[in-house]
Amino acid sequence: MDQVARMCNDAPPTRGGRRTAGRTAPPPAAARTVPPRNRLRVLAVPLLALLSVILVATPARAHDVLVASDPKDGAVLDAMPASVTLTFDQAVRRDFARIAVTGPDGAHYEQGEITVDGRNVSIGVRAGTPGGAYAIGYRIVSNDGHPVTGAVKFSVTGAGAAPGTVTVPATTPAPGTGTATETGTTGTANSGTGTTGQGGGGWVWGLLAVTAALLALCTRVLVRHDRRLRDGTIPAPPAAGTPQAASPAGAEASATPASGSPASGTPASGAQASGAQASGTPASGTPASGTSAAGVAAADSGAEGPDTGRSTATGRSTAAGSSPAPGGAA
Amino acid sequence: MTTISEPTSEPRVSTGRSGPGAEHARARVPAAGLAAGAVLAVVIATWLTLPGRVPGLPMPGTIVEYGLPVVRLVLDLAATATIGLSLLPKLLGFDDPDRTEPVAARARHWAVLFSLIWCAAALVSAVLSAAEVTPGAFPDVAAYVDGIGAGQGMVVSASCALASAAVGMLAVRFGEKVPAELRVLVAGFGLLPLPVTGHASNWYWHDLSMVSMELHVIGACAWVGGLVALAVLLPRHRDLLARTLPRFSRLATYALIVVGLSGLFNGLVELLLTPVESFPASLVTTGYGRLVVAKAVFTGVIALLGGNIRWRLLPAVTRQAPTAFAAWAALELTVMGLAYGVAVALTKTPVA
Repeated sequence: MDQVARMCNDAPPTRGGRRTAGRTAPPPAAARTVPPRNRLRVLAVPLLALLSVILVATPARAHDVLVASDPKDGAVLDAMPASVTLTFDQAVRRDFARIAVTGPDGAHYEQGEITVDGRNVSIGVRAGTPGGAYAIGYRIVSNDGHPVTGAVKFSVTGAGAAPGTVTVPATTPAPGTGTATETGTTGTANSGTGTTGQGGGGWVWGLLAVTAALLALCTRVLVRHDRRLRDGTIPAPPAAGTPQAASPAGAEASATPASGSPASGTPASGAQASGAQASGTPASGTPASGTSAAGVAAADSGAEGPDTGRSTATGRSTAAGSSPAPGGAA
Repeated sequence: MTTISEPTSEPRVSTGRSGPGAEHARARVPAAGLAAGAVLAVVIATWLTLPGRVPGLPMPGTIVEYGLPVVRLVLDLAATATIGLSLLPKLLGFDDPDRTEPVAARARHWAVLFSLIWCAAALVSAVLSAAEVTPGAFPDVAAYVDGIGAGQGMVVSASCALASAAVGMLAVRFGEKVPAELRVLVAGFGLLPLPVTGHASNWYWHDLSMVSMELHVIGACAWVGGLVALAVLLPRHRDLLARTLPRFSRLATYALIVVGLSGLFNGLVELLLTPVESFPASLVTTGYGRLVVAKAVFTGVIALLGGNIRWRLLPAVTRQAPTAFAAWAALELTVMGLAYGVAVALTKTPVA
């Protein structure tokens, strides 16, 4: 019963009171002022933000947007140009950029390597293109890591009007010009993406696998720790300021019947949520507590055992049960 | 005062009829509302803003197109829960360890689990992001992480989540001797690389919009995480709620101001600086603008619901009278979940 009385007395936040006492002139709304720890956090936030900007920011990072193209979208040309150029609003990354020029027959007509010059991305076009509707499909990765995709459509009236050689620099002349249309071009486009990290791919995957295993291990350790905590085989962490060693023998004894049951009932490799669920279920089997929630509270209080006589399981459950009394009266 | 007290009723009263399982399920309604709202919003928003097919180039598969936003959402929600649960001891206070300790112990336990989920989601997100930029080929994670800041951000975030889990493990073992500030700090540090993966920062006002974005993310995490921790762990402990909710209410007020202003600033800057669309029209003509409008509307609704809790429920809660706090919090959290889902889509949607 003294717990109920204490509960009612403790209801106003004592932190605010302590704070008011420390001040010279307590404001009228002292209870509303920021707790000192909150203020510390408020200070820490901008500092952390600045630090992160210094640490992880790279010069330009934003979503690129297509602002112009040559040929323009919807243009009708007399002859196919030697190369197509897309212009974005910011400098474009070379890696991961891909452009495809699809003709009226569905075949690919791009040729050679993609060249990037600041905001311009261009690729050569194969000779001997038929007249008709063409589409330039592009995917570049902007500096924020997001792919930017889109298409520019144009049409060519004259058939086969393109010059035979492509004037774009860094063109690979020989192997795929005549025969390999789709495989050759996609192969060259792919080689651009794969150059940077082909050798490092293996260890990254290994690292990911190791990390995943580590995560699974951590989860398993935590769930097992939690279950043993509920069973009472290991002492719970002490509440702040209370000695850990003073665990009463009575609590251990009352917890032993519960510790026998869960080992058989729950599988060892339980999932996270189900593990937490299952750890509550065996506690309800103890005769003292009827409900699961009270059972958990009883297991916690019994295992931590901060004050020996008073805060046993029954004391805790009466405290929890009697709290609605003022509420029901109000 | 409202006396609808199903979620706040004491276990002894309710479990007489429905049993412990129903009580557990009811305690999780707020979290379920948050998750359901978020998933619903992210799937719809992703579907609406899906980029069209590109002629001649392979497109990422459905798993990548929908999986990446969903995994990113899981990451955001897990990080939010970690922050909120780490923050909970600060809200509970350390004056009365006898009564706060059972709740704090559960919070520590769940904080570690959510840190682990966060870490896993960040790594999966890095893999899916790599798959998104090289469709039709095996995802080259090394090249992605090596070349693109977003990949590095994900790895840094995963590392911080792992560190947060380690500190949380220590806290599980040694209780509140491990300072809550440390846990909040480590987890908060893991949040900082996340805005990098969005495109909300621009070339022109880069520094300002980056800081604004960090404030936005931290404020949202403290706000939503704190509310979900309160709504799930505390409704059955009316005495603790009476002491904790006023503190959280102050935090939420600041968070509302910070999140609202920074979000408005970032969204409008992004729309203003887009070269191809004119500003006032782009609010409704572009997918990005529509999402910004949707998020502003959600923020308004959340502010109203928060005001309802602050002005109508808080006096009764501080008197420890039965209130419908859990139900209102669940409603507010559902709207917050919708805003989270839209936010994830917003980080990926091209402006133009």
